[in-house]
Amino acid sequence: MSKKLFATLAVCAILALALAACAPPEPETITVVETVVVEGEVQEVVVTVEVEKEVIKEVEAVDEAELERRKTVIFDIDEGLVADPELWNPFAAGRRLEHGFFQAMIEPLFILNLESPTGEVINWLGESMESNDDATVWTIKLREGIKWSDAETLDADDFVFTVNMGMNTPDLMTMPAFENVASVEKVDDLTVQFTLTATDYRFGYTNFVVTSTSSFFIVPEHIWADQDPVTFTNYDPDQGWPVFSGPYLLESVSETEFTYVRNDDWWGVDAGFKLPAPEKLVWVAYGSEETRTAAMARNELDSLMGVNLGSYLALKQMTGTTIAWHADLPYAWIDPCARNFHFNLTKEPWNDVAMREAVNYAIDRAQIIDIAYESTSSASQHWLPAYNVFNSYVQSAVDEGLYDQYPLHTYDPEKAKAGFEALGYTMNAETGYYEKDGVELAMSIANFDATEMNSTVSLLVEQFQAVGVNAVQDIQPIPAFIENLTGAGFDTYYFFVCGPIDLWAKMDTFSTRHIPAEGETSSGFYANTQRWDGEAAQAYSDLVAQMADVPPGDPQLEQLFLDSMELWLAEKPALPIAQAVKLVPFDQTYWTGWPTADNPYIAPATWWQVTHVILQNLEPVTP
Amino acid sequence: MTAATNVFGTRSSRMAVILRLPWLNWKLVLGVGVLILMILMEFVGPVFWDTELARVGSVPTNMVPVWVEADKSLGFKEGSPDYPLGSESNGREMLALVLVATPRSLKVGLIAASLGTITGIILGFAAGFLGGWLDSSIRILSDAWMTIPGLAVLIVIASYVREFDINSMALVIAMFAWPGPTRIIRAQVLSMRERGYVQMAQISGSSVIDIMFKEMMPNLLPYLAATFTSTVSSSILAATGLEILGLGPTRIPTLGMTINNALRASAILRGMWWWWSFPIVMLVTIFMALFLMTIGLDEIANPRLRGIQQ
Repeated sequence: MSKKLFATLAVCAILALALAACAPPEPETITVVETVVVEGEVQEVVVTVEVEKEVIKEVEAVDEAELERRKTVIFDIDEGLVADPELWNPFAAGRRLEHGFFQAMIEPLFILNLESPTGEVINWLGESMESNDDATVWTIKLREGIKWSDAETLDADDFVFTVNMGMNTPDLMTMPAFENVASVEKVDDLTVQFTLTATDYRFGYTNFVVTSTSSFFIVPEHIWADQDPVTFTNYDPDQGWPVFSGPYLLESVSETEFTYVRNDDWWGVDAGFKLPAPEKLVWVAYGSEETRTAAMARNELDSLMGVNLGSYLALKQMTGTTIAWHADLPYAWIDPCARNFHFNLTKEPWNDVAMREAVNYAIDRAQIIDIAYESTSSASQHWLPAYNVFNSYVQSAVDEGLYDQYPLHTYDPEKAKAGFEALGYTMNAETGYYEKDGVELAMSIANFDATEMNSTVSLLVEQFQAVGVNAVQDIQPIPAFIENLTGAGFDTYYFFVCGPIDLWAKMDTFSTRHIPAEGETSSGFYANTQRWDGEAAQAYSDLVAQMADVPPGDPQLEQLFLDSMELWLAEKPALPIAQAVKLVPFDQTYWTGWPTADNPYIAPATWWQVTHVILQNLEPVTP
Repeated sequence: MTAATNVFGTRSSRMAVILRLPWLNWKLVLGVGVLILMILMEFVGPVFWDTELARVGSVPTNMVPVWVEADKSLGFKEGSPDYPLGSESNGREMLALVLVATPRSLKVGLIAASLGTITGIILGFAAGFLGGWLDSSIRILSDAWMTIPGLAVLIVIASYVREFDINSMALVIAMFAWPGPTRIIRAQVLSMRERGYVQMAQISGSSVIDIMFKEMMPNLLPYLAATFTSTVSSSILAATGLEILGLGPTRIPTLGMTINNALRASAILRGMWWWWSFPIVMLVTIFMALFLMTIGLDEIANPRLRGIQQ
């Protein structure tokens, strides 16, 4: 044998050995009966078929994954990575809540159903809430039989403990201030009584009802009593922490993904709630809108927190199973934070009512709705969101003729120019801008960096440029924007009014009581950051203060609203532009029962605590 | 000698000489020509097209290019010969946008590269020719500066600069555009100062400034041009990077800002290819032209590359 041939055979032998080592185990054989046709005659033939065992296993694995998927609802986190995934203290700085924490685990006392025509309040942990006639004593009763996930009882002791913890520890996040609470006491195991220092008709509603994002969080005294509420992480899987009362338990965490499994011993079943159908909930942070949308197209998400119209239409076309609040335009649901154009009233020339009137005539709201919101929103008449609980008030102002007397939506560039000229401005033909005493009429419009805000302000810039105002856009990162917002550092800005869904609270946004001392910053984002002051502002604030002394829903509120709006519209310290909208896609490949305008059992805000109600309504497509 | 010839040679031989001039390298000419066309867009564009249509809200939104059929289910509108390349979701017309954005993107690169190269020339010559502690200082400074993560610093600066226009953007980018040219020029000067004609100039009493800028600079021109070209390229790349992150001029966008707007509006997912592809084509053309210029200049500086035996 030649050396060459020997070498070849040796290599072949080594390869054969290697292949044999890597070869799959012996295939199993099964016997099947196969029907064959032989020359038109049907015969049954017994054949032996070799079946790859691994292949069968793989098929079974795929089925298991699919079965698992059918039991799971996957939600989206659109605020990016969770920097500290092991922080489960809802009051700690740096904590996150919308990654399933308060949707799956922390339960609220009461939930306002914004979609209900009558403003229904859903009792959750709470069974009732009432006050005495002058609203100085509030009594809240808990449901019977509420259990923490470690089987301890949730009762009035936990409630009182949490309130006292909040009152004794300043600066806890998501904790009501309880400034007017004289005392809080346990009446019995299920009843807690608050005694206030003064009348407060909104005490219960403001502090214990989920009107938008969340409300008061009760924590278990038996775990928190020995902890520092500021530094406690509340995370120890070995001890079963975090412990809350919700229908799901935390299973796993990471910076991008949070998994919760259903607690089949959830107290709510005995109390008359349904055990939610999803056995597992997952919240995932995918990143950009495009990535999130693509994930839903791949059936890797059942609920998205909000996308633009283009993404939604593409998604709808790709999946055929994606729905939104409305089946057609505007598709979107109204979010509670209506958008406004705000002036800094400490700066000239914006402190002049006539200037603000002229600027208002330059705003083409129809174009903003058409382009920036792609017809998913509507022009706003007020900074109140267009919800059932507020619509009657705004309509009363329309009926009263206030919007005829003080037009808000009239787009008339010529009137805008006439307004500037009446104020002594003259057009510089060379620059195309108005000037007064050699000073150009210039305006910087700030907004924080978000697609909707950027688009709207870019349109406002063009609309103001078209009437001779040298407007420029100032896009700021959120921290810088907040600093300038509360420190009156802007010329003008595009922002919103959020806060509790309550008429008085919304109107109080413009009260003079919020104006800080010179050189100091505003106490909040919705605390008269435009610093509207003067005689009319004071009269407005007095009327709003009277509203605080009238119970919610009282007929007196309407007249107070009309009187205050007359002052506000005459002065226009801000200009309502558009209703806020959220286009929230839900996919129906695995789950149905999502809230829609045709089935408006609750708001479709899966980033709020109302998700507890949504989970009660979800049904699997394939049981 | 025939009638058609004189001391300067025949017309055809003169042409042959001209064509053999190293500066008439076709790659360089083509690259420069394309860039000049792009710069001219700013002046010529408004003559034959209404570039005001590049502003938001100027035309109906989401129009497809004129040769494409609109998919109404995705919210697109039929194209129109009035707007041949279609429009994007903010109501900007794409042809006007390309005509306006291309020279602006190029301008950022040119301004930043000019500042960076001029700084590089001054520091590179000073370090290379004068040597000593000045050389050490400049070398350490430029080396240290190169280790700073430029894009991260640019993002921080850009976040806090209000009204980020073309000039301020170019200034910010120029901050990181000088160390490269400084190093390259210093290396060339170090080798050139040992040449005979430089030493002759030194012996004959020429001043340092004269030696640097009258004797050495002309010989370095191809290198300087190549350095300038590559700095333009890297500056445009830096500017585009910033813009794609959303940090750039907003009212009249650049190519990078147009891509950023398209990404933010999910144009890829939505199938609005005309929104992002035209700016990308223009960016690719700019980079190709700059690349051709660099190759051409390289061939001028190095005769071996153009096949001349020395």
